[in-house]
Amino acid sequence: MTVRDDAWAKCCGKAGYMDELSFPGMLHVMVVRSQLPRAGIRSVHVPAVASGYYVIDSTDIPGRNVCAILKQDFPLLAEDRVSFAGQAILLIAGPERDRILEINDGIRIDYEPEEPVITIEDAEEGRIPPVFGTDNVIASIGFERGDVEKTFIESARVFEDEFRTGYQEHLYLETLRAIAVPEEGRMTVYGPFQIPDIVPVAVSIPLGWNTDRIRARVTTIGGAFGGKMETTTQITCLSALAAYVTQRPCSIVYDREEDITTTSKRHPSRIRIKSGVDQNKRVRAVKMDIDLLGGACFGSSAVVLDSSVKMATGPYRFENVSVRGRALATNHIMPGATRGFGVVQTTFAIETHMSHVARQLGIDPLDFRLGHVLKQGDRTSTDAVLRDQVKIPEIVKSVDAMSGYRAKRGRQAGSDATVKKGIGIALYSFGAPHTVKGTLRARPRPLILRRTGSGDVVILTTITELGQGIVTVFREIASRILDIPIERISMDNPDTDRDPSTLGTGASLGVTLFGKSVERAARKLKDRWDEPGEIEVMEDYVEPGYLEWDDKRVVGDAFHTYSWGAVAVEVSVDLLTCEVQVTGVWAAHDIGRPINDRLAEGQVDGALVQGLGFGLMEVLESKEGILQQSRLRDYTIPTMRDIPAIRQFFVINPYSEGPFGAKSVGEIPTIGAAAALGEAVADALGIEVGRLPITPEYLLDLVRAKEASS
Amino acid sequence: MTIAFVVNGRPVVLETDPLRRLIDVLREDLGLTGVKEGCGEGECGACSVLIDERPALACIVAVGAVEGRHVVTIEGYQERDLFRKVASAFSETGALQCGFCTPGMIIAAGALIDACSDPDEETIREALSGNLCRCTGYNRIVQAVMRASRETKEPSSL
Ligand code: FES
Ligand code: FES
Repeated sequence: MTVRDDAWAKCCGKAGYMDELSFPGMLHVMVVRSQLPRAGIRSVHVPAVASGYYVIDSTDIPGRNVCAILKQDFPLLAEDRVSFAGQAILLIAGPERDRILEINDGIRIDYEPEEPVITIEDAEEGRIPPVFGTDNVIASIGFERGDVEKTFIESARVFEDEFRTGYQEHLYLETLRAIAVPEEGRMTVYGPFQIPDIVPVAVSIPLGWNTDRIRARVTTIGGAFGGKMETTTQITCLSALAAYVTQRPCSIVYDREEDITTTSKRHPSRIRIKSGVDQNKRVRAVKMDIDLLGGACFGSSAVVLDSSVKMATGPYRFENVSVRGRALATNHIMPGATRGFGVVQTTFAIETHMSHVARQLGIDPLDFRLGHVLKQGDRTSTDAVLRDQVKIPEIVKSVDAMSGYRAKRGRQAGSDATVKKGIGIALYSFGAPHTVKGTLRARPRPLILRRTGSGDVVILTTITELGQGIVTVFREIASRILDIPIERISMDNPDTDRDPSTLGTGASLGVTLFGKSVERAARKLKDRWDEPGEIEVMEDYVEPGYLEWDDKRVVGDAFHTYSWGAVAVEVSVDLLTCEVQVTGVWAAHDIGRPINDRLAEGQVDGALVQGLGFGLMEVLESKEGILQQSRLRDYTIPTMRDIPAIRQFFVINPYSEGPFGAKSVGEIPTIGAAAALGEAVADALGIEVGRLPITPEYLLDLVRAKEASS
Repeated sequence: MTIAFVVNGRPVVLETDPLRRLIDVLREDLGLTGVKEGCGEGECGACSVLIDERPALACIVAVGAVEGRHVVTIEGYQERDLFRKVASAFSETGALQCGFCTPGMIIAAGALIDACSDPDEETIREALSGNLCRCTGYNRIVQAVMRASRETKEPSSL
């Protein structure tokens, strides 16, 4: 199997990361940020600074004071008020970091504190003046199929649950950074941009320039997971502003604390589910209320919410469904795109609820869930017909064979007086790509294959390598079609001056949508191979013709297709400390037919562990609007010791529209791990879990409550 | 203050504040940018180097503390036969994705293989638990370390 072409350089630490880059005369830039979640700014006192040093505020912005994410509703630098702790107010630029820190020490900001909106309840109650609009609702979307309320009345039994999940930090190992270099009427910005296409647009607004004067060059990205998409707009605009004012190359590097406390995260959530069950113990109606805790502006919450709502009911078919989702503004940093979008939260909720209901009905939770799984020809919650085969039964069989789930389930609780073992399984699906007529805005997203005079092939695109291996996969697709060695095909880090704007590494689009463009371009190139000299083929993405979507009514094919999966997690819980140790992880996925098994398995391994970290240990809490964890010492992610060996399997189910039958893999394995973990803990202790992460403190509460009630 | 030490086999004499972090001196003064910074507080292992052949975290060592000692960064380490074995195992096993943890991980893994010629899975997970990786879920890193340690027992083919 092909070894990725960046492997050796990465082993040597010289793969073209930002931290290898420097420019003559480059200045360091520090961002001075709000200490309070919500306040008016009465005055800002800046000490006199030595020559060569600069303190920059909003009045230095030549264009509009806007940091554009999806909407242009947020100031790049605060003017007379701040809306979250960590909001940028000033920049300090200069050659020596120590001197910059001294200047910072001399700055006094006089605030007029106001009561902040902190929780989902604060945001919906309306007691505190709103942060956003008149009602704090950043985005809302919902739909109903059938008649949910009527079915509840007719139901034999009705069940209700409420679930809560916390923030999750992406924790890419390379923190965010950017360098802006002024060049004769133009500006080049370097950085680990997951979507470089948005950089020129964003930077053009505060500079008041045309976008063609701004060039974004992507450096090798040290992990992203959704955290280097919209979040990069702020740091790039700030570095460009500093470079504009100082006329020197300007570098901003976030340290880990600044990165954790000021960049986006997974949205915390509150999800309420009500379901009605008939005499035959079938769920006839499900109502879900999804509330995501947003930040102080629009951000990308609407996009995340969109996935939450459209995938809310998981891999199940219910005749009567009502889903309502809201993203609510609070005085916090803006959460944003994070691997698995909003489906991690909803999958935890629907899986846990279904298992809970099964236990109440005295049915095996896995059998109960399998009895409700969608089948080919069924209609999804958005009323789309499932065209492709649904191989959940095979997936579950494979996970059971690897894990011994059925043999172990429910039989381990009494194993030991102080340590209880348990095993849980989660089923899930993830829709990708989004249907363009719906969530993705319709616009061209071309890429180019160029055959040089010497017979090598170059792929030109703004699609970025985040570590996931997209470069290797694209090269592999082109190599198979062109029938030339993969070594003769190359794809560099994007440069918006050179590459066509393919717009969008994220949302699991890369392989399925743009990999297919590579395939089509390669076929055309092959037909023209005998032409002399350099040849270029440009190819845009094509959506399958059968898709139908009505955005107003939220009806139709929300996604091109779906990947499917199941994961079993085994735990042992120490009864004294309530610490949970993960002792086994087994997963199977249908991602079509993988292009490169090793890379696909790597995506699954990493995503599963990220999902387990979310479920188990990654605590990030806000107290009065201030994040209480800000460093790796207190925001802990899984280490090698926390995680056992992972076993996994791909159930092959070629997707007719994908390149060589491939579907998406980047996000789906993230979404079920926490749900399976919760089920394993429930199995071990005989309790019902309703919150993530499952910390020892939370478990202790549950165990005590159980003891008190028995 | 004048500080003299050896970096990747070459003597270095610097006029600098002895309290500066070793990572900053290596990266900024000596241009050894293969030393990565993931946290700056000794929690992630991305800045792993060898000091007198023992793995150490360059972000929590003051440069004054390496006076007279031998420091090896990934730039020097990559000349070694063991690096080639570990790096090949990482590449071929798929033990790296974004690669930001990889130089530190390889130094830590090499030190483990040096200290223990045939580590089992548990030993590896314990020994490398100070090196964080957010991309791989560790599965393939463990496999790569096992593979590399097996290969070091065989005579080098290079
Ligand atoms: S940077 Fe030194 S341990 Fe993280
Ligand atoms: S490969 Fe990205 S952190 Fe390890």
